[in-house]
Amino acid sequence: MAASPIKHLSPFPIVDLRNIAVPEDGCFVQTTEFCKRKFKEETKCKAFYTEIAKTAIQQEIKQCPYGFACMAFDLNGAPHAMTGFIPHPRLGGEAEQRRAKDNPHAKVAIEQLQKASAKLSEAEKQRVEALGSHAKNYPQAIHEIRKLNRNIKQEAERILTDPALDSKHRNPLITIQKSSEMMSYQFEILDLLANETLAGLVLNTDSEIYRMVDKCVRIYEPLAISKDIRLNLEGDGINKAPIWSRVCDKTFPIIPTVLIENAIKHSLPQTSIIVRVKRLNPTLAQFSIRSIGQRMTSVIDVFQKGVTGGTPSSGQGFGLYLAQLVAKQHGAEIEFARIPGNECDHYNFQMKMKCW
Amino acid sequence: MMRGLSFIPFMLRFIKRLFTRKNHVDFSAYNPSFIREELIKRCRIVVIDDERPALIDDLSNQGFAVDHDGSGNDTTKIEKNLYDLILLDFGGVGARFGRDEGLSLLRHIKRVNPATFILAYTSKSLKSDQSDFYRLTDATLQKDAGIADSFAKIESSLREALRVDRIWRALVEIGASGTGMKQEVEASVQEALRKRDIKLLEDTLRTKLSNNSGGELVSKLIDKMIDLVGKYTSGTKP
Repeated sequence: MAASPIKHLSPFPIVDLRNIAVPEDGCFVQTTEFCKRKFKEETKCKAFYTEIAKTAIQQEIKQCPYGFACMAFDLNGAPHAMTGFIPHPRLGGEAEQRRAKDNPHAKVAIEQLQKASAKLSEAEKQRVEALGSHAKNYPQAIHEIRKLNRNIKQEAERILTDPALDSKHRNPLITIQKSSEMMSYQFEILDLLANETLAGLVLNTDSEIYRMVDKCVRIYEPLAISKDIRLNLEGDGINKAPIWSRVCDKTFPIIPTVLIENAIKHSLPQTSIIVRVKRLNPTLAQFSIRSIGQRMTSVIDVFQKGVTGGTPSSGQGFGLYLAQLVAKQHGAEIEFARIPGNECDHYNFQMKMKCW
Repeated sequence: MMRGLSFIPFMLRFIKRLFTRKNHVDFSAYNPSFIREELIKRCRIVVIDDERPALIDDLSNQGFAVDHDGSGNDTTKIEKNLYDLILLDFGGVGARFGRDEGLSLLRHIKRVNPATFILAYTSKSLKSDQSDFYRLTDATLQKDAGIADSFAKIESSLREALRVDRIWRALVEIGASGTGMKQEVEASVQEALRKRDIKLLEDTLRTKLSNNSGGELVSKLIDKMIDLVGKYTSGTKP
C-alpha cells in the first residue's frame, strides 16, 4: 500500500510503522531537532518504533527512550504512530519532565489525540473509497467519450463522400475529421498510460511505415499551421519501394503521434518540423523528427516519466516515456539529440527499426 | 575416458537429426491472393457487440455479408466455421461463458475454432488483468476508427483469415492430437503437395484428420483448405 497523503494532516510528528524513518513534521508541531539527531545517531529510536509496530495496541500510549510519548493508531489499515508529544495525564519519569520543559507547545490531552487519530483514519477511508469509485467510473467515462468520437468521425466521413459537397462545407468537415483522429490517438495514449502491460503485446500486423507516418502528419498539419509551424514529411514515400515492418497495431502509432505532437508543442513559430522515413538498408529503416525550439537550460532525461519541458505548453511528462516503451516493444530505441544554437536549440529524435 | 563416453549420445542425436527428413509442412507458399470483390463474395463476418455499430450498415452497403450478434451466447455458427472474421467487443457480451465478458467468450472461441480470425473491437480501457483480450485476438480494430480505416483493417484481416497456413495450423490443433499423429499427418500431406495432387491431398486430410474430435468443424476446414489450395494451383498466385 502506498504512503497516504492524509498522514500530513497529523497534528503531531508521525511515523509510518511499515517504513520506519525519522518522524515527519506534524501540521501543528514539527519534529524537534533533538529527535532528528537522536534518530540519526542512535539505534534506540528505531528499535522503539519497531517494537511498537510488532506489539502496540490501537491508540495505546507508550513512552519513547527519551521521554516523548507515542501513540500507535491505524490509518485505515496502515499502522502509524503519532509521536513527539507530552501527554496529559503524564506517563511520568525524568526524561518526560525534561522534554516537557523544552517543548511546552507539545502538550496535549490524550483524549484529544485519540479523537484526532480517529478522524485521520476516517478521512483516509473516505479518500480510498473516492479513489475506488473514480477508478470504476473513469474507464466507462472514457468509453462513452470514445463512442461519441466515433460517431462524429464516421458521420463526417459519410458526409464527405457526397460528391456534391462544395469546399465551403467540405473543409470544416475535414477539420472535424482530423480533430477526431487526434482524439483517437490521445485515447490510445491514455490506454497505454493506464495499462503499461499493453507494451508487452506481440507484434501482430504488417504495416507500411511511410503510409502510417504520412497519416499522422496529415492529421497534425492543421495544428502545426495554427501555430505558424511548417510540418513536412520527407523520405521514401510512394515513389519508392514501400517500407514494411511488423508492428503491434494497438501501440505502434503512439510513437509518431507523440513525437510529432511533442515537436509541435515545443517548436518556435515560423520554423519547420522535418519528419523523415527512410530505408537505410534492405532490413533497416529510420524514422526521425527534427525541430527547432527554445533553448534548454538544463540537461534532462526526456524519456523519464514525469519529466516535462518546463514551458507553459508542456504536457504531463508521459508521452515520450510511453513512446520509448513502445519503441522497446518493437526492438528499437528512440534516440534524442540536442544541438545548441545561438538563440534556440535544434532537437532531433530518431529511431531505427527492422523492416523489409 | 568417461568424458569421451558421455559425448557419444550427443553425437548419436546429432547424426539422427542430420539424416532425419524434416516433416514441417510449409503451406505459406500456397496462399492465394484475393481482390476486394472476391473477399466480399467469399467471406462472412459477424460483429459480436451489445450495441449495433453503424459500421455494420457501411459493410452491408458495400456488399459484405455481415451479421450482428448482440450477446455472443450462441456460438453454434462459429463452431461450424460459418464465419471467416469476428469483430469481438469486450463489454456486455459472452455472459454465458464467464465473468470476464468478451474475454471469456474469446477464450471459448479460441478453444472451439482456432481458425476464425478475431479482431479485438473495443474502445474500453482495459486493466492489466484483461490484457489477454488483446493477446488472444489476432489484431485490433479501435471502435472509434474511421470508416475507411475500418474497411482497410477488415479487408486485410479477411486476407489473413483465408491463408492456407492459418487453416492448416488450426486443423492440426483440432484434428491431430499428439506429436506422433501430427508428424504422420504432416508426412502424408507433404507427399501429396510434392506430387501437386489436390485429390490426394484431400483424401489424405480426410482420412488422417476426420476421425478425431471436432468432426464437422474439421470437415469444413478441410473443404476450405482444399478450395484455397485449388485456387492457388489453378493459377492465382500471390
